[in-house]
Amino acid sequence: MRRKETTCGYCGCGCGIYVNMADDGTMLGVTPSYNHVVSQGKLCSKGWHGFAFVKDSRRLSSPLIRQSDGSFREASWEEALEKVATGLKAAMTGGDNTNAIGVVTSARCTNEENFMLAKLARAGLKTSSIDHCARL
Amino acid sequence: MTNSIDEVSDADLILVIGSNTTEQHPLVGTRIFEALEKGAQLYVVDPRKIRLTDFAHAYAPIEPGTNLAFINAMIQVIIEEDLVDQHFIETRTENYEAVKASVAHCTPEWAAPITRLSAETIRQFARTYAKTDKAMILFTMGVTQQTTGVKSIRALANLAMMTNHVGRPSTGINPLRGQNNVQGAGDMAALPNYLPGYQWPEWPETKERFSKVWGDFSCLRGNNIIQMFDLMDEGIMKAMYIVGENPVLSDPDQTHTIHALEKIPFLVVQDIFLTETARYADVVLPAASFLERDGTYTNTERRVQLIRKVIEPVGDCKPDWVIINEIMKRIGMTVDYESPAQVMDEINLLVDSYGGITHERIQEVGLQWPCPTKDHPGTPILHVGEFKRGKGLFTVNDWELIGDQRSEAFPFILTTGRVTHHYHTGTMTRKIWTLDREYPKGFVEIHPKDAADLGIREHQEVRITSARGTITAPAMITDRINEKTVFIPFHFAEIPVNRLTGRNLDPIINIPALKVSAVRIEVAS
Amino acid sequence: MSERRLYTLKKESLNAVLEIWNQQTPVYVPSGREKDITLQPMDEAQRTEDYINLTLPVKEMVFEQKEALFSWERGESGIQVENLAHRHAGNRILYGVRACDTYGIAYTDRFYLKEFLDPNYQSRRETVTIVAVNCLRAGKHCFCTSVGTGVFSTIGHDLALTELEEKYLVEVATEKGQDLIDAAAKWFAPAVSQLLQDKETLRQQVEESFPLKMDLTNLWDDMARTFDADFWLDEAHACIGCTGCTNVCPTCTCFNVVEEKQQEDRGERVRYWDSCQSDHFTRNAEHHNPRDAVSRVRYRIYDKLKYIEERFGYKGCSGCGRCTDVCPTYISIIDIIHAMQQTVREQATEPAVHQMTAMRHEIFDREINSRRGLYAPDVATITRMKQETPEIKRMFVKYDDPSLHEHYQHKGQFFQVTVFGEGEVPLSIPYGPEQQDELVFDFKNVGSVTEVLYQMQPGDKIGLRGPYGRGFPYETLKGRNLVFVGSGVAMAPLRTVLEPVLQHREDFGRVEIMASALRYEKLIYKEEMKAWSQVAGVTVHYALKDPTDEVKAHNGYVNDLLPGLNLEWQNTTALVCASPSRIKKVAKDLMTLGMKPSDILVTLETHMRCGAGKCGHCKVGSHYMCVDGPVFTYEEMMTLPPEY
Repeated sequence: MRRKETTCGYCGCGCGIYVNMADDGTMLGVTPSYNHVVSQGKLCSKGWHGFAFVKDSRRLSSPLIRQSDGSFREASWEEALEKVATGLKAAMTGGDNTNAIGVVTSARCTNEENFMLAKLARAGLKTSSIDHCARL
Repeated sequence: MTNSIDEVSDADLILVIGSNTTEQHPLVGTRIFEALEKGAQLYVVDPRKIRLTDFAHAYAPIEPGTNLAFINAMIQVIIEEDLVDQHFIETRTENYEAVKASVAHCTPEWAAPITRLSAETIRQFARTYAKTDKAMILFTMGVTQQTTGVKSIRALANLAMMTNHVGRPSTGINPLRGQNNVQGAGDMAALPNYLPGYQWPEWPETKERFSKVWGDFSCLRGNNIIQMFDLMDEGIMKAMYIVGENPVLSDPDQTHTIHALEKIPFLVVQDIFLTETARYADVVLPAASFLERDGTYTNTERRVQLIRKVIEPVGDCKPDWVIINEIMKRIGMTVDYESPAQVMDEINLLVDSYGGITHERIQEVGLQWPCPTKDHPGTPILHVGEFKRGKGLFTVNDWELIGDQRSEAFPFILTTGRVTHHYHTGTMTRKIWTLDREYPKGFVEIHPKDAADLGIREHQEVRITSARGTITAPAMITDRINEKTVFIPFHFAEIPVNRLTGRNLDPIINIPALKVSAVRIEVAS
Repeated sequence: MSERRLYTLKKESLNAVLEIWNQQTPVYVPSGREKDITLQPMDEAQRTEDYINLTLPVKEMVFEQKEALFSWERGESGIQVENLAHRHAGNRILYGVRACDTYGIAYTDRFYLKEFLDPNYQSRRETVTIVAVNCLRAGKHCFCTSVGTGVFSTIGHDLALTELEEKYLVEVATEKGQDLIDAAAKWFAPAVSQLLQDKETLRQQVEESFPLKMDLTNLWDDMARTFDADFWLDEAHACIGCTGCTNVCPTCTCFNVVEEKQQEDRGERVRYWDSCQSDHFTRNAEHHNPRDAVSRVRYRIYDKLKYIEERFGYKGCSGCGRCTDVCPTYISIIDIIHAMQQTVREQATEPAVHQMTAMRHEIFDREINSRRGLYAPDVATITRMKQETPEIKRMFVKYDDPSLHEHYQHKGQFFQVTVFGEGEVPLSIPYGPEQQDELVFDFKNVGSVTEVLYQMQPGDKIGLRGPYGRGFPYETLKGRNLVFVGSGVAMAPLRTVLEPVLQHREDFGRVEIMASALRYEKLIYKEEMKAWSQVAGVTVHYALKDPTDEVKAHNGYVNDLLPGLNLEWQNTTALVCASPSRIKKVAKDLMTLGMKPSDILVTLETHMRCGAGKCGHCKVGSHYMCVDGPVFTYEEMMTLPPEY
């Protein structure tokens, strides 16, 4: 059995958890962290059980591209990323794109990812239209 | 939060407004229990008799959407009864007189019919808050998601400043952030009006500072999410990249949201599941969950903490930062980040409050920003001795009634929120058997008296209609909700309560008034 | 082992010994800092001696937070089921376990390894060796000395180490423990029994140093007198259902069974730790939940302090105090004990009857019919489906392995029926022993599993485990008048005994069948009942809410018909299958007519998941409805706490 310390990904409390794994990597459950400054060994039901969606069979496991008939097909990362880049570039006007392109990011993303998205939006796509769910 | 979570347990009065703390921020709730054990008083303002009310010393079952009238009346009482801290006002703040004049008419008797509270209740809240030395205000979306959301928070700031409840331990006004990294997302400027670190795009030094690292960039006040969906609907916005959001369920006026998503020529959605929103995408990118990647989250007390990759990404998923990095390169940006820690180095450079926060330093304990240098210990309490802007600014926040109101056609007020065991649009929690078992489906809370008047039985399907649309939900009859008020959680795709909510926005920052919608209730045939 | 062998080990030699053990078998040692202490493989972690206790009880190594039960795969030749009880099991030495946890292991051994043997627990337990290291200081909420499970380990370990100045006294408790000594023999010196005296002196010193002491002598009486006390409401208001208290408990054994579907044609059934502190732990598919917020919170305390001991003879609480440490709203078993004692001191109240009356516990080992262990079903094929009523279907099935029918013994009351990839439901067996090569089930579409089952067609495969449950005592019915009372689908369990009674009509007195439903269409066995009513001495009565032209029926409750039966009530047995509230009403009327409560047989169908008294969902007081019941006498039912 192995354990790895991390931060719970639900509410803004940011509790400390250890995720317990069997030797083959199967996630077994959570151990609370007493040393953690916020949670001090206590967790709510989401902290105790919130890991369990990770291996859900409904998880997306490959990029999807919409076909002309409206359905999705699985695609390689290479193809999907190229399509994304092409699509975004096509919407760029050459000037400022604040009204042409939008980026919506998430409180589920890390600081680093949000920073990168802010940079992608403003410095890459030349749009100041970037927002997330703080209002919702 | 201006203060820290731990300080709640040392408060003498905890004033909870529009926050179901024990259910939605359980570890802050823990501190409330600690405080109660030490003899603290608990005052609760909420249209629902939330769990905390069972332990509260005073409870104000307020009419949804009227917090501002309530707070202004509290301020009026405190001024009227001379409970203000004159010294603090004189030395630390400015513009007090304007506020004093503006609330002169806001007597409890004036506020009583608006808030549906007794004048005596308002006086009791005002007096206890003003007279208690260590009084802490906790609030969440129950204050902000209304047309007077920003004004209400500014009024809370007035309230705290005039009574010297700022900049000291166990005081302050403390928004509890509902999502793990909503604080950090704001800090990193996932916002149209800021650059990272809340630096205004208009400031010349900001532009210069970022240009050095970012090169040429769009430096405007952009469109927020509500405006973006309007632009999509109008055919002006041509491409949209959505990462980890599910606006079909979380945004107001679902019909409008879906219409906009259908209309936009190019939509990319990056998520862990094929969400209700992802179904409208042209390209869907599979992302890794919080257990499959490295990085940092900033919690509600501004504490920047590490998350660690616990398992390898499922299937062919990739961490968001890897995907974003790829897209950056492919649209021609000259970047190539090798790790989140490397991104943090750049954040250190550009965001003063994060200047000293490195992955290395927070291996064991997270640091609270502002933390400007590598040897700074972090900041548990904001505004100690001096406000960030210098003098604390009193603001005039006149009460006004905009947006949905009760009418003959729509005599009920609908308010929305979460239940204990689910999270936001349920994308994750509804797939977890323990949590799903507790609340397998949605419901509408309705007062027994209203249920009797309308002939509604427990579990019976009820039709709820607003000016925007109609949904049905099984009735949960409970006296924990105000009369003529109903509550529906927004986790459940099959009971999409945001089909009913409207785009009544706070005029200042455009937060939608999700907590206040006028509706009609009837038994579904 | 007849005698407890004693050794000493120099403290400085401990690492050498652990190294030797670790060469053969991975040794897990306490690791971490301050209160975050977990057992980790010593190859990968730094061992610490500076700890009070493990964060999670050592239970997690033998009853893991998540375990696979079996896998299934649909192929050309039907469905293949593979037992996965042994996955993740492996030899391990667990070093540094405290007395509260070894006591917990002693209890879980008793719990999982008797009656229906739990193959998952067995596979892990057999491969684990437990080395206890006795505590020398107390944590904030430690109260093992008050419950009598500590302070030193007396049970559940293979070796126990006690630190005596420069050495450890090593006590061997099992052969496994002796094997460890033998593997590193040169480091261990035989010890004189005088050292046991030193150990005893030390034990008394340590016990003295424990700050928390409670006198629990009258606890059960105090509990009986505070079952309905006001303080429970405060506890219920505080609890947010995080499940932490049960997750950290060394004696909590409940689990939930979950389908994890990898593909359409294959998947696994796994179990996770479950918690009676989830609101809906006891809720069944028809949304009946026998426990409200108060009884939920109270149940955990009664289970720990009383029900477990009542049934199994082991303390249900080992006094580790973890549940108090971990509660986000400061619900504390210690405070609750104090509240009980204080309440009794301050206001004298009568004890609750159901907490004073002991009821039989007939615990015996049972044969597991499945060839793949307790939790893996045998595959069967649906041969026919019949719409019995607008809401009820009848399903006929045959085992794919016909020999299972031959070995099948007709005892028990229900089967656990698996829909592969969807889940498992308990279904009564409404037929008699004459059915040699076919099983029949009647079921209503009420939940996610029965919904799929409802759509199934002849040729579709299902899984069967069972039969489980204590059925009606057929032999004791002989010579008596019988009144069968069943409402709706609840007539199905009664049919199990009705069929043999009708076949041996001469053995019984009058037979009165009372069928009730809202409407005639909703009645099950309409044709059968018409046939049964033709048998001499058998009368079928109908009690329906809505009038019908089909049969002569009373419009109203079944109770209304009872006085008119004019039976010799002293020589009558009633068999009642209905909702608990209806059972109570019928029983009350029958007793008014002169029946004894011991002659009224009832079935209590709470939320049964495993069928074998392990998963804990159906438990009422100290009784598991799935193995002690579902059939009880009304007299017995009244001795259960009213949580069914």
